[in-house]
Parts: sequence; C-alpha cells; structure tokens
Amino acid sequence: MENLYLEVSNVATSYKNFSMKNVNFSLKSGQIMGLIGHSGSGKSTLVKTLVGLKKLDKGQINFYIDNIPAVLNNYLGYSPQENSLFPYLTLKENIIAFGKLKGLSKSYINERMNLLLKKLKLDYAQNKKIVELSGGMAKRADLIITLLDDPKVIILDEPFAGLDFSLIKFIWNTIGSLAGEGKIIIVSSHFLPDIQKHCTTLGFVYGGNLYDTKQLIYIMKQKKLFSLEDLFERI
Amino acid sequence: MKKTITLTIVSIKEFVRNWRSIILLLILPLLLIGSFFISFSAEGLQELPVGVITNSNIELNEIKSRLSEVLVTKEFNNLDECLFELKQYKQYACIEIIRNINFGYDLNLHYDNTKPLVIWGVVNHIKTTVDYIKKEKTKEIATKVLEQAEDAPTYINIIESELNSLDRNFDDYSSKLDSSIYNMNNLKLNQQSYYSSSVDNLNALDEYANYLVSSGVQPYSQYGYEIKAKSSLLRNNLNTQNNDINSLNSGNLADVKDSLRNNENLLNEMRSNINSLRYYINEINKIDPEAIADPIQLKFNPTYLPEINPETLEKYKTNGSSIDTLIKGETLLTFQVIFPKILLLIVMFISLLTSSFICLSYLESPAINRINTIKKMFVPSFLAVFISSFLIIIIPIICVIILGNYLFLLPFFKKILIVLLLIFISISIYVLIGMGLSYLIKKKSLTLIVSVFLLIFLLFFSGFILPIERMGRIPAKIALNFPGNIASDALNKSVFYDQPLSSLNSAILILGLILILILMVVLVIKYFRDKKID
Repeated sequence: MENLYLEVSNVATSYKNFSMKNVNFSLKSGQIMGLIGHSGSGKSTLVKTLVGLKKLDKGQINFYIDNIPAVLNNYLGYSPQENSLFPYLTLKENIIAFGKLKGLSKSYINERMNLLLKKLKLDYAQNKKIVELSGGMAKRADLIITLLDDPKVIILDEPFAGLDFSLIKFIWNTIGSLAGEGKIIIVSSHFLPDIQKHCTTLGFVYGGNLYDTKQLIYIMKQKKLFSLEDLFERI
Repeated sequence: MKKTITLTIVSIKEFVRNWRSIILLLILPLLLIGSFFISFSAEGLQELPVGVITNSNIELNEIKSRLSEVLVTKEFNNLDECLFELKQYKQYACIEIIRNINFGYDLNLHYDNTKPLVIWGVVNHIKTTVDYIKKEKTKEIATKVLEQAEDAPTYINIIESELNSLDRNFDDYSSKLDSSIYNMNNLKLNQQSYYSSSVDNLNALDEYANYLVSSGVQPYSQYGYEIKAKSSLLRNNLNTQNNDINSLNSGNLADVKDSLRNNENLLNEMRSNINSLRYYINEINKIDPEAIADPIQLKFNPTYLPEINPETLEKYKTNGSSIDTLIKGETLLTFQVIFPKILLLIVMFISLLTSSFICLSYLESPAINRINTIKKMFVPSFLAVFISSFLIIIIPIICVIILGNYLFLLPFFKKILIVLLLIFISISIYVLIGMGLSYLIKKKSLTLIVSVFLLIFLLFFSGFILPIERMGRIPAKIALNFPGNIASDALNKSVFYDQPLSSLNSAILILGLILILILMVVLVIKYFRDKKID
C-alpha cells in the first residue's frame, strides 16, 4: 500500500463577495475527513478549490506518494454535489466517455467498468440512460465515474443528498472500503451523526476559516458543547 | 484528438437523443423557412382591393378587366365613399375617372402611402394598365388613320391618269394651235395676194367705171356711177377685211401655246409631286400602328435562363405536363433565382440556433463540473462543440442542396466544390457566432433570445426583405460586407453565370478572413469565460 500525504497550507480563495483564508490541514492514507459547516459557509468553494475548479488566491496544495511529490489532479477523483454525468448517454457510454477523456486505455476502462458496476450493484443498469435512473442509482453511477481511474484522493461533495438510509449506509460502506485500501477521502455533508461516526478527522468551515479536529474540540470545550449538533445550533 | 472525438460523439448523441432539440432546432426552422419560402407568390401582388369612381357615362369594362388580373375592383358612387374605405384599410387606392374637355380622360389616383412596400406595386400595376390602354387607344386611332391612307393610292392613280389625259389634251391643243397659227399665217399671206389682186381688179373696175362715167352715155354713165359706188363699197369691205385679217395676231395664239406649254410643265411638276406623294403614302402604309402608339419599345432580356436537364424534360413531356412554366418558368425562374439566398438563410438560421443550443447544452450539462476537472480540455471542448454542431447542421443543408439540384434544377452538383466551400465557410462562421454568444452569455434562455434578435438583424441586412440597393450608403456598405451577402453573391455567380473558382477568389478570401477573425474572438471569449467558472 502506498503512503499518501495531502497537505493544504495557508490556502485562500474567494468567490464573488465570499472569501476563505488560512485553510490548513493535512491528510494521510486511509483518513476520511468530514467537511462540515452551515449552508453557504464555503464548503463547496473549498472543495472546488481543492479539485482545481477555482483558482487559489494564496497558499499551496501539496500531494506526496511515498514522500515523492505528485500532481494532485492526476490522482484525484471528484464527485460534485449535483449528478455530473451526460444525461442522455447510457451509464456504459458515460463510463467509456469519461475513461477516454481521462486518457485510459480501452481494456483498462472495461476492467474497471466491470469491477465498479459489480461493486456498486449497477450491472443491470449499464445500458440505461442517466435520465432513466433513479436518484440513488444516478449517485452510484456518479461514484463509478469518480472511481473509474482508481484515484488516490477522493473528494465527495454532498454525496448523500436525496438518498435513503440504506443507500447512505451503502455509500459509507464503500467509502470505508476505499479508505481501507489506503485512499484519502474528503466528504462534505450535512449528515452530522454519520460524519461523526465514519470520519477520522473533521474540518469545520465557519466565517471563512477551516477549523480542524483539534481546534474544533477546543472550541466545543470552551463553549461547553457536547455534540456537533449543539455546535451548529449555538454558532 | 482523442478527447475531441470523444466529446464530439458525446455531443451528437446527446443532441440526437433529445427529441425536443431535433424538433426545435432542425425540423421547426426548416418548416418555418419552407412556409416562408412557399408563402412567396411568384405572380407578385394578388387580389388587392381598389376602388373605381366615375360619374360620367364612361365604359369601365376595359379598365376593370385589365386591373382585375391582379386587383379586385369595386365601384363607388363618389370619391368620399372610396376614401372612407381606404382610410379603414379596406381599399388600397381609389381611381377617379373624369372625362375632360378635350375628349380624353383624367384618372386621379388616390393611393394609401402608409403601405410603402405594397402600394408601389399597386400603383405600378395601375400605371401599366393605363399605359396599356393608352397605347391600345392610340393604336386604334392610328389604325383608322392608316386605313384612310390605304385609299389614297387609288385616288392618286386617278389623279395621275387625269393628269396624263390632260397632258395629252394639252399636246392636242398645242398641235391644233400650231396648225391654227400656220393656217393663220398662210391665210394672211394668201390674203395679201388676194387683196392685191382684188385691189388691182377693183382699180381696173374703177377705171372702167370712170370710162363709163366719162362717156356720158346714158345709161352707161349711170352704170358707171353704180359700178363706182359698188366698187367703193367693195373696196371698203375689202380694206376692212384686209385690216381685220392683218389685225389677226398669231402672237396671241403663240402666247396661248406658250401658256399651254407652261401648264404642261406645271403638269409635269404635279406629276412628280404626285409620285412623291405616292411614295410617302406607300411608306405610311408600311407603318405599323403599334409603332405610332408605342414608338419606343422596351424589351426585357433576362441574362439568366435555366438549363433543363434532358431527363427531367423527358419526364415532363411523357407526363404530358406543360413545360412552359418549368422552362421559362415564371414560377420556376423566380424561385430559382432566390433559392441560393434562401439556402444561405437556412444555413444562417440553423447554424446559429443549433450551435448555440449545442454549446449551451455542453456548458449547462451536469457533466461540465467533472469535465472541468480534467486538464487540457480547452481545445477539445471547443472543437467538439464546433464539429458536432457542424455535423448536425450539414445534414439538412445537404438535403436542401439536393432539393435545389433536382427539384429547382440548379447546377449545385455541377459546381459542388464551390458550393460546398461556400457552405462550409458560411456554416463555420455562423456556428462560431452561436458559440461565441453561448460562451459570452451562458444562459440558455437569454442566449436564444439574443440569437433571435441577431438573426432578425442579419435577415434585415441580408437584403432579402429590403434590397441593399435601397439602403442608405453606410448601411449598404456594411450589409455588402456581411458574410451572408458575400457568400450569396459568390454562390449566385457560380450557379447562375458559371463563374469559375478563380473569379471568386476575393470573396472566398474575405470570407476566410472573417472566419479567422470570428474564431479568434470566440476563442478569447471562451478563454476569459472559462477563467470565471462558477
């Protein structure tokens, strides 16, 4: 298993009138970071900055594989908040299209496609158009594309929106197994109990800043808060 | 290139599988343009109402029947009634016919000049009708005059023969006069000798009478006195006769003869005048009344007449259809000459709308967030939208070209290289414009509204609604340099007048430069808009 290390230091980014500054955190192989915060706090902005959709105003994002610097974008898997597939193409066609866009070979695409379809239980739906899939199936399909090139860092932006309990559980299990394979995973969500349960580290976005787990615990102690729900209610 | 091909295939599949896009962007524009195309009548203005007013007992049927070929005439009792309807847009014009004092007609035309695009066609038709009737009337009168002139040669011949007879009489009179003069001169000569002899005889008689008188013997002396008296009487008579004869002047006869000669000369002069008159009458008889009524005739010779494909011609002949309308085809010809412009308008409409739609579908696709995370997608995404738009657009355009070639008998296939080159450049230009708008505005509804306004603007400046020749100088200069008009002129030159590619070099060069310029602008727009990703 490779030794992965992601370091975000002094990152600042802005969008329209909103800005984030001094974002600092680091993650290792197998860690799952839960990104939490109120709506409009900047979670999606931070996520888009990490994946390269928004430019860094300041700071650095460094990624290492076995202590060797690597370009994060080449090993990144990103699942946006909204379903991001071609709606009128079938699942199989989406997989092949994105595989080719990512520069994967035909055989590798087929291999990964068969594996992921089975893993995410969508083999029967591979010839259905995305518009014909249910919300849960579309989310799983989106995950397949995210995992198609076997990324080492996976960022999931609100992956549980609109899903039922069993599907949420399924996805957390998948996330857990991916973490078990040594990948770094960042999950942004509003489902605080699940975040608390499944994530190894937290990132609380508030007031244009990111508070890591240590800082979060300190704040909660200071304010005598015992749960993340209390934190959200009081702040 | 792999990414470009992948995205192109994705774009085409997305477009084709969305039936709404096919109907809205391909079928609907073709239907709209087809109905727009069909709505044009090759016969021009039809069945427009026009009022006719006359108070005099004037025969209107001729005017009405000529006007009724295009206009619907309605008779009114007075002008006010007609003007009332005109101001309610129930009539386009009111024609008031009044007889004037010179036995002609005054036609007062009151026309609705609030409809400039149509009314000049109406006025022109009325003017043409009036001119035609004027011409016919003039021809009628000229014919009557010329008919009179037809009898003239007969009268001239009669005059000529009378002149000849007069001439002969003159000759006769002249010779009789000569004879009279001769006889007179002879008479005078004979008279002289007769007189002399008579005088001698009378002298001798007087001498005898004197002898008798001097004898004093009665009755002989008495006889002598009677003989002397009679002799004196006779001498007097003889002298009188001699004087009378001497007074006869053959000079008068000679004068009469000279007068006769002069009259004969006058007769010859008259004869030659009559010959001239005959010549002019003959020339007049050769005149066509039409030439008097219509001395300056304008003949129309269109420089372009369609060739007929022999197979098509045979097919029509076998079907027994009349091919007159096909060949000279007022209908066919009119549609033929506007077909290339229609083709380029279709190119403009479909290219602009389809490329906007495809580009916006790509930009607004749920997959865009994922695509934007993939590096080096600027050129492939641009090319994919362009190529997929182009491939979708080219299919209906090729259908229209085939229609033009086989149904409207335009030599598109004969000039396929030039046609395809011009179509390719035109499609590219409008596709890029559509893409530029999409990259700039990024919202589907707003982009399509702006596209519609742009299309209306381009349609207006295409010269299809208002000819460029009727625009002001600056707008006309701008319109002439629009890519649609440059392409249209080049296409017309090639298709109608068989101009080779070399004569179209400047047009193709300008179109190429416009294409490159628009390409640069669109790439810049895309670059800056890509930087500002939401």
